[in-house]
Amino acid sequence: MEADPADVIRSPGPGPRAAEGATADDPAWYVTELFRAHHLELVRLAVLIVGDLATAEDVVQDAFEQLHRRWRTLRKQSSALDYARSAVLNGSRSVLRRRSVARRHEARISASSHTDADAAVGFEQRSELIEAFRRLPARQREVLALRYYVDMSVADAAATLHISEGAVRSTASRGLDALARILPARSSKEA
Amino acid sequence: MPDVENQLREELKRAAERVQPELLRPLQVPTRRPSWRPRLLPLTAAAAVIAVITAGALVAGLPAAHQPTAQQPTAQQPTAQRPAVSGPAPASLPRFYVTTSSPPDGRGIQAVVRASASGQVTGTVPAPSAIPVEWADSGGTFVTAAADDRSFIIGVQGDQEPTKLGMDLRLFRFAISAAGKPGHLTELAAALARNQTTEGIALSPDGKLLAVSMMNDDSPADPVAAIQVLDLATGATRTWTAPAHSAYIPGPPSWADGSRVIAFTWLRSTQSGLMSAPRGIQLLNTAAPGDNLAAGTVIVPSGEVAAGSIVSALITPDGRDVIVVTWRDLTPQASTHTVVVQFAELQAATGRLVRLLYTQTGRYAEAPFTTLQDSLGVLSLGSQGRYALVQGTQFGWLDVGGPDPGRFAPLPAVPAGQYVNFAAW
Repeated sequence: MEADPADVIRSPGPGPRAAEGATADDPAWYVTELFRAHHLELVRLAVLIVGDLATAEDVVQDAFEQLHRRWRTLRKQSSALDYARSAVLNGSRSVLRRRSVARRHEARISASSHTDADAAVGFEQRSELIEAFRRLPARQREVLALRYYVDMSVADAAATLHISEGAVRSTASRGLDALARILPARSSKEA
Repeated sequence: MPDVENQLREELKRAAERVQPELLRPLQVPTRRPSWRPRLLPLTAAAAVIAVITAGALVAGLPAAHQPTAQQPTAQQPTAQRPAVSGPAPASLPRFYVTTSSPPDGRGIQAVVRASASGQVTGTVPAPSAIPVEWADSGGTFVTAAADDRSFIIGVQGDQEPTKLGMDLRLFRFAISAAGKPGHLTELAAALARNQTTEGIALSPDGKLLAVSMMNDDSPADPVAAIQVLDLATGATRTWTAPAHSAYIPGPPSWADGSRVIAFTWLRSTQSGLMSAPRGIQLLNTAAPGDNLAAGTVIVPSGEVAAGSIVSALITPDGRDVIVVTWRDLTPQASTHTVVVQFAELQAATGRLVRLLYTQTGRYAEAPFTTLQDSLGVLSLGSQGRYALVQGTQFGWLDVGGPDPGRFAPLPAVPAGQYVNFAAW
């Protein structure tokens, strides 16, 4: 069972898995624990947004670097996971924007985003629903990923994305509407 | 709708769970990447801890982290339509050029001055050491020169809020002597907008104005494209912004026509952010009223020149021509890309092609291909607009309006396999 992030951060000292050379006074220790507990979850979240594993790992690594750098200035260190999650979403959004600068043709994007690691992960075999999800605007993807992958409440998603709860609801609704439009076609195809 | 929600929940879970622990690499000490993306401070300590944990996990028989594929460029030797020339440098070549890099001890960032004729370093000047060293070679720093080839400004992207995309920009001014020795850096007190992604900076030919193109990220969900002009004497600023939700992204600016016109590349991305129209080139008349960045004159609306997509452009100081670099991928569906990089001269008034100056070709695997795309650039034009510092498949100078148009000579600046994002003379 994964450690609760808040417990990890509030833990008073190095636990049994604390690595040699790190102490409870060291931000590296806390960040390491957070990394251990949530790295996979955050990479999976980033993959849903950016679409490829290598970029998702970069985004998450950046988020942890930011977290480490900012550790002593965090107002509430118990919110470190929230901070990391926000940084991952921010980083993913930044990647998408930068990617749009660097890659100018849709065909290039779909053809080039896959690496060997992606092949291992099987992203080429995404379902139509996931393909449609990937074509949604970035903000809709973020909201839907938080609501339906991370299972966040509307309030938590709003806090993570720094938008209003109303914006979360309306964005999710628009995203679901868009996805719903492909389902009848898919159902008839399957039939 | 519940049906969609349930299916989405299921399929997102399924898609995400394809990422298994054994596929992940451990947290790493960031390596210098020759790409656009600024890297944050190395998390050396935590990375070391993670490395210990990973080693422990291997010993304990837990799933091992895979080793990421090294992203070294695998380009075959680029070829040029016309061989690079290594003969004597033209007399009218600007004498010095400036880049940024990390010093040999790997700490901090330094501006490096080199003689254009020989590539020899004539002096270095350190920038504040708090800046992550990775940024020096990866586009987190900017360099621009006045027409005298003696006055320079470097810009360094600084702190970043976790919930913001952008960073603050610090600006430092310095001058070099007739022998190429740099003086001390003086930080400009004037504060430009915070939380921005700087796309480029340009000193006006007279050295009095600084143009900064940026994406203002105060609202990460809807960044706003802007160009800001800073009066270095008074600190006064004037800002032009693109309309909200227009998704414009301006490229590095350049000045023409007596510090009156700013040229910049622009791109308009589509709603999803994944697709985008090719870059065009736009002119902004700073003497005209108004503050709408999108209201300028678009001179190359298609972003295409001679079958290539424009990546970067600078206007010549007399405002007559625009020098562009384009790329074209001849094998977009292949795992190895055959890329044609071309430098061309366009007529500024019409955007029409005047002549192709120089063509390079190379074959690249996916990762270095993407890096190359991000790094191509016409980086700086000398005061006469005759010679450009360019980053194609190689970094060097290119005769764009001198006695031998199309002549290219490579210059040293960064280690092999890396690219120069910003340089000035």
